[in-house]
Amino acid sequence: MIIEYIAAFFFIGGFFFLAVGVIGLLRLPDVYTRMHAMGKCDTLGAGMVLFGLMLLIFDVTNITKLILILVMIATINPIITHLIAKTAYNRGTPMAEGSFLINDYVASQRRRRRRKLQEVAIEEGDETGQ
Amino acid sequence: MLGRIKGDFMGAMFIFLLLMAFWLLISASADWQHLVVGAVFCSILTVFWSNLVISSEDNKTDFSVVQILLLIGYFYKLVIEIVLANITVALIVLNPRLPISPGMIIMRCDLKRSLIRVLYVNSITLCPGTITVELEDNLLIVHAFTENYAHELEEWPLYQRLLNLEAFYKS
Repeated sequence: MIIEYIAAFFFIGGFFFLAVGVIGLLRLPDVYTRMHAMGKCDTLGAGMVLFGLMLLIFDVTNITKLILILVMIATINPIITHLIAKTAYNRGTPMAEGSFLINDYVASQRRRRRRKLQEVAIEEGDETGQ
Repeated sequence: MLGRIKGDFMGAMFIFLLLMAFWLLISASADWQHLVVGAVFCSILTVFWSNLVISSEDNKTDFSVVQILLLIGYFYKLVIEIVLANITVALIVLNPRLPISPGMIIMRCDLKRSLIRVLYVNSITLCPGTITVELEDNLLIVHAFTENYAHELEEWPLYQRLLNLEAFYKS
């Protein structure tokens, strides 16, 4: 009896997140932000619905199949999200207005070089007595 | 095909046991007939796909218990992050003013092993406010939902866990 209520909680949560994904797909401005909504909400939404089904069925073979489906959804969904975003980026799809761009690559390269130089300086500093 | 299995017996055994456990869970009965049929087909699959055995460059399996424990801890944190990510997306999407400030970050990624790189990229996609756009050698391009998430990504706690996990392979 109580297990049905728990399963109902998972069903309603899953449907809510799936609905949020679709609303985000309609409302957000460009490709990348839309992929945010789809890629995340579909994973947890489908996962919660499948977990509710597992609680209701309670049979080893079917639970194994549902776990397999859940793992496949959780691995395929981010990969397809990444592929769509990558294709859009390589084709030069513009971002929404007011987007920022942070380039941390060069800065982190410099940080690493400075850290290495400091390590070398500390090792040499012991010899020169600084 | 057989030479690879002989060189990496532990990896082949691991794959075989995994397939056998899956077969037992699917069939849900432990007759001797089920067991024999399952063992025959699992060994055929293991021989056919012997290039999929878990091995490093020098054809030796290196897989320790500590790594499994670290992975379990990692996935436990990842589930919490996924739930948080969905709640933040729901809060942003259902807000009538739509408070987003999207943008790209170009970062550096120091992970070497391909399996751990895949884990890292997938968990960036599933975590709050970020999706990966490109990963080449050590260049990582990430699209962020708001500017706060972009700055949080540079000191991301799960990245440190993955670096710890990779350190076991090198030693």
